[in-house]
This record gives sequence, C-alpha cells and structure tokens, in this order.
Amino acid sequence: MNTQFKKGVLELIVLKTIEYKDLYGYQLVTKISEIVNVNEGTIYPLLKRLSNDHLLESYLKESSEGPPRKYYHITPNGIQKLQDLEKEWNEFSGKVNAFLKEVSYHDEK
Amino acid sequence: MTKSEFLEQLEQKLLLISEQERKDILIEYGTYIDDKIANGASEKEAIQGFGDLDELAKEILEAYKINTDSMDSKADKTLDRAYSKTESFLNKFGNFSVNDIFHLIFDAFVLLVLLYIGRILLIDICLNILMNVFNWIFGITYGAGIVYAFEDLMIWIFKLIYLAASILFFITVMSRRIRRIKRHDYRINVVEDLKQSFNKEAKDFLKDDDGLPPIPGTKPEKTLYHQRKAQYTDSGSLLIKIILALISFPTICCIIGFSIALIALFFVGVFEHVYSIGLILLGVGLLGGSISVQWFLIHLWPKKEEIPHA
Repeated sequence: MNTQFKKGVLELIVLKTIEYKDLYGYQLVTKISEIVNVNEGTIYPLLKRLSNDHLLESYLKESSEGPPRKYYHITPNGIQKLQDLEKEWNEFSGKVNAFLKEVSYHDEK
Repeated sequence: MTKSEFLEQLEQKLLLISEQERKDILIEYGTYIDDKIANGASEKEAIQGFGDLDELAKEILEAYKINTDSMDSKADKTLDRAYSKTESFLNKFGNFSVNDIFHLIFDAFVLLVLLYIGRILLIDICLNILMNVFNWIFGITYGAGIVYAFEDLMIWIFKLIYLAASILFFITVMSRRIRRIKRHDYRINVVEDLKQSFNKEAKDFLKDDDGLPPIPGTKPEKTLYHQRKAQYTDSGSLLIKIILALISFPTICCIIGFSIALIALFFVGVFEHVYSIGLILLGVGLLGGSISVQWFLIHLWPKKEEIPHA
C-alpha cells in the first residue's frame, strides 16, 4: 500500500483505536495491522509523539504474565483532535472519490 | 540476532535521545518483542518485523525531532530566537541570510585593509618622498616658511582626494558584492571583484540588470538554526551557559563599579557642595546600561525544560 497514504492516516487510525479501548503496544499493533500493514517499529515513535502532544497519556498496569505493561489512553485533547482528523478525512476522501468518479464517467464517453 | 543484541544496537543508534527517554523506548521495544514471542513468533521473527534497524532508528529520531516544541531545550530555543531575530532584522536590508551578511562584512573588512595599505603606500611613503624632493628643490630658493605651508596644503589635498577615491571605490566594489550575493554567486571572491571594477564593464554592473543569468534554484532553505547543526547535542546548552557566565562577570563588575561611583559622586555633592550634572548623568547611564545588559543575559539563560514522559 502507498506509504504516503499510510503516513497521513496512521494518526487517525491510532487515535480511533485507542479511543475505543485503552491498549498497550502489542495489542495496538495487532489491531492496526488488521486495517493497514504497518511497520511495527514505527508505532512507538508515533505513540511518543502523540503523548508529547498530550493527545494520549499512558499508565502502567500490572500484568499476570510478566512485567507491568504501559497502556495508552486518549485524552480530551486527543478526542478533539480525533474528531478534527475524522472530519478532515471524510471531506478529503469524499472529494477525491467524487473526482475519480467524475473523471471515469467522462472516460466512458 | 538475539533480543539483547537488537536492543543494544538500537540503543547505540539512539544516543542522541536523552537517557531517560532512551531507556523508556528500549523497555517498550523489549516488552513488545516478549509479547510477540508469547504469541507464537520466534525471537528472530519478532525482530525481523521491525525491518531495517537503521531505518527504524531514523524514524524514532525523526519522531523526536518532529515535535520540536517539547524536545528542544531552552538553549536551542534561545539560539533559534536570537538567530531568527537577527535574520529578520537583517532581512530588512534586502533579503540576506546571516551567512551572507557575514560574507559581506568580511569582504568589507578585506577592502578596508587593502585601502589602508594603499593609503600608507601612496600617502605616507610616496608623498613624503615627493615632499622631500620638493623641499630640496624649492626650499633653497623661496624660503622655508612658505614652502612648508604649501606642502602642508598639498598633503591635505592629496589625503582628501585619496579619501574620496577610496569611498567611491568602496561603494563600487561593495555594490558589486551585494549584487553577487543576491544571486548567491560565491564563486568570485572580493579581490577578483576589485580587479574587475577597473574594467570598462564596471559601469554596466552598477545598473540593476547586468545581464548575467540567474542561478537557478538556489533559494536557501531557512531551517531552524539548531537543526543546521550536524549533531543534536546538549552541549549547545552548556556552551551558552559558559558564554553567558563569562559575559556576566565583567557586566556585574561594571554594575558594582558604577554604583560605587554614583554613591561617591552623591556624597561628594552633599558634603562638598560640588555637583557635576554631567558625571552624574554619565554614571546613571552607564549603570542603567550594565543592569539592562545583565538582565538581558539572565533572560537568555537556558533552562532545561521537563520532557513530558509518555
């Protein structure tokens, strides 16, 4: 899949996924991989960036299977940003789709 | 590669990140690898999933650089502020980067040195020889006094002519330099320009359109100053602190000295009834100046900002 598309939309997907439920690193990557193929290594830098921007916060939770895990949770700022991104995405993809339909219609003539 | 090898190598590539953050990152990746192994992958597979190690490190570093607002130490922000203020101030003089300005100042300096040497050669030496010859020829016939007066006049006239010629010369060469710098043409240095300004073409260069083709695509990118540094290190902060401390020392001495001087003036005025307005104003001005310089230095003092932990 085109990397440029992926990069733009990854933030949106990550925020949406975490909004639904608090997750830790591995869970998050698994979930996101169901939607887009993502390099596991680059999720963490993205999470760090979102945390630094106060869109996400993290906490440690004890786990029965091993060391405590760092869970990510969306902040109110993050929810606001998510809504903005979703809106932008819908507008953007809507316009692109409409354009593609229009052009292919003319080609068929 | 084993997990520990992977983490060690990754750590080596992340040295530019602060220790606390780095530890955090490595723990996260370690836990991630463990989780993956627990879910059935082999150690090798778990690590291969990350792709190329160098690319990974680069992405991590970029993630920190991207969000420069929380990562920059105050030192870098101070540098950025100072640098960009200087740049915007100098830009009012016609779109030069600070680099260009330094080039120009250097060129001006070279010119001045050459002019000064020329002055010594022409005026001090040659003129002196001339005057001595003059003396020898005419001194005997007309009487010393008139000849000396005449000579002094001649010397003054020559100096004035030389000064006027130097100024004109300076302006000519500098405008050529400025025109070149505007087109980012660094290939020709100032001495070449000097030679060329004696040519006939010099007149053409004084007009705005001098017929040279514009150098394509050389608009310099204005990145943040600290990003132009080859390495992102914390030593910038230390360097600024050292410089500020060094400059603060004489400034504080000035403040103490001028305060004492003002107090002394005050007491002299009260007890001896001798007031010197000039000296008092001078003292106040100097004291005010040193205090404001010191305040400015304190304002620039970099504080390490708390990097928010995820």
